[in-house]
Amino acid sequence: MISIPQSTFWFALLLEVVQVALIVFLFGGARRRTRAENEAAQSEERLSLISSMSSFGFWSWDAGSDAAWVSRHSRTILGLSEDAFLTGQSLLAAIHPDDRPKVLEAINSTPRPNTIEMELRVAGPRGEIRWITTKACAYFGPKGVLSRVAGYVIDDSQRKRTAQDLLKLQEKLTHLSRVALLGELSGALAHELQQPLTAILCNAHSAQLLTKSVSFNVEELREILQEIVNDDKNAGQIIQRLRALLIRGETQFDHLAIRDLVGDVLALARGTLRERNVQVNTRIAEGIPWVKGDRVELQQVLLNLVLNACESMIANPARDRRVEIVVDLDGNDSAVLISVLDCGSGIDVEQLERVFDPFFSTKVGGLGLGLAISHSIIEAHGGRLWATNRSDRGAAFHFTLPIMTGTQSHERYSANGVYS
Amino acid sequence: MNGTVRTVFIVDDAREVRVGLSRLLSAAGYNARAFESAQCFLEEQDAEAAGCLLLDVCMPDLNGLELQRALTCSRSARPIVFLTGMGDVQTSVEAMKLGAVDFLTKPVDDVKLFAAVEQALRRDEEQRLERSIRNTIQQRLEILTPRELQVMGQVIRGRLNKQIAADLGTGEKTVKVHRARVMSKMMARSVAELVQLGARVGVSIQPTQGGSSASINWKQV
Repeated sequence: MISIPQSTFWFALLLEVVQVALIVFLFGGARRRTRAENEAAQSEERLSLISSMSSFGFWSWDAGSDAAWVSRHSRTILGLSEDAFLTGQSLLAAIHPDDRPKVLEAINSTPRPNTIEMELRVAGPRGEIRWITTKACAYFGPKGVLSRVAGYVIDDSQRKRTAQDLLKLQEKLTHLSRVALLGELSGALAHELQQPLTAILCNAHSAQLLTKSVSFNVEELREILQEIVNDDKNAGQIIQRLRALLIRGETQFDHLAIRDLVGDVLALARGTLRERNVQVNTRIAEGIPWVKGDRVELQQVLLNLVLNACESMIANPARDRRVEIVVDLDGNDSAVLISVLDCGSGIDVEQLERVFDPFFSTKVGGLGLGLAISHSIIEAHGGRLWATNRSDRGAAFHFTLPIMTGTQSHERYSANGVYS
Repeated sequence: MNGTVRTVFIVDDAREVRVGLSRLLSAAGYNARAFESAQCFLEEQDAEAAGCLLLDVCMPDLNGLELQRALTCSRSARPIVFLTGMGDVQTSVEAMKLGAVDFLTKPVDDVKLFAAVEQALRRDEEQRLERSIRNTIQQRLEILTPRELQVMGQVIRGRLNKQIAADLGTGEKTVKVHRARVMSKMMARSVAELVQLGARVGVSIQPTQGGSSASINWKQV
């Protein structure tokens, strides 16, 4: 038997244990590492699954290194090639030039928000414009230095297109009902236009006759020419007003004086009012401030109300057809209140709300869209349109328009005109 | 144009049209008077003045056709030329049925306007002449005694003095006297002329029962 010194034995044993421990440790570490890698892969997988299923794309940007990471789906949305190395700059470049300032402004604004949500345009692969929505979180290091921004991006083009289509459809419908409204006026307007045209022709023929005589009065000729000029201008104005309503433009908000609005509408309806023997009285309170709105659409609303008022009095005797247009400040001075009052038969109480429903009509051959569209126009202006019955007789339609803030009253005078 | 003043009465609610038409018609040598409404015309017109109407169809209150209806059969009836902005068939037919001279659409050409106005003025002259003749006949008829009127009725029907005498239960001589008075009062030189005069004022002869006697039935036109 070989004798081994005891100390050596213990040393060898210790060595063995250390080796085993080392092996166990090393192996265990390796196993742990594999697990972490697996988990990372799985997480990546899940992320890409969510991304592809939900049409979300993810991205992040490191402020320190300027490196950007963008998920595969994001690359498709943003139109970036699959293997390009990305930086903050290349992300920004994917965005439509017109929207880039908006992004920079959001990033550089102070105090810097923690989350940002934006609707942006990007150029699609075939140069088409696509709408995206992105929401991002900013992460800050010590001392509040921006370290990372990460977020998601969705392709919104479809939704945006639908919304735009809907808006266009709405505009079309508003325009169509305006055209229908003008259709009601067309007979009277044609008549209106024939007056100046007749006068012009008569005057021109008179001038021809006059110049045939040996000695004619130049002063008279001058008078005739002036008359022709005036009549022609009148005809032009009628056409101008008509054209403004017929043209289909985008809704455009301008500063408007209610007095002009009322005047324009009464000028348009003049022929019809005369034909139907309707007297219109306007009462405009002093110092009514300007409102902000689309001139054509508001004319459409008021014209619709005035024509409805005429319609409601069709059974009245000719001398008893009066419409009143009253313009005043709303109760709490935050809006202008415009009322159109008639002395017709009024509205059944249970129909007071229903008159604004689409396709509700009491007129023979009426489309039933006029009031519904007027209602949505006024709502889009931030106002309200409603109907009441007057205490004595007849109906009243009221609408409010918010007052433009920060403007002085431009209507200092008040005149109560009578149009007929 | 002959010596009498012929007026064109313009009724139109549009000021510029009144001014234009008045100027044109004046330049062409007519006497033009313009009114802004049918009501104004009725109140201010000279009912006796010769002339014609140039009438706008579409006016508030009393429109052109209503004025036409109000004037038909009235003392101040004059030929009417309509001017309209909206020439719908129904209105024009109605107006023409009621005796309108023409139905012109605005804006109107001077040639057409003058032609229509000339025609209307001519018709007014004819109507005035006719009216004055009828008035004369009427006045003559009014001085006939009831008996003379009876005799006249019979004469117009071509009955012989003998038959008339039998019908009226008088002598033939008496009938002869009545007949001579009728002829002289009516200033008729022949029976044929008397028949014409009677027809002109609408004196019609209605046979009574049995057809043996006749009464005179007149409708005043």
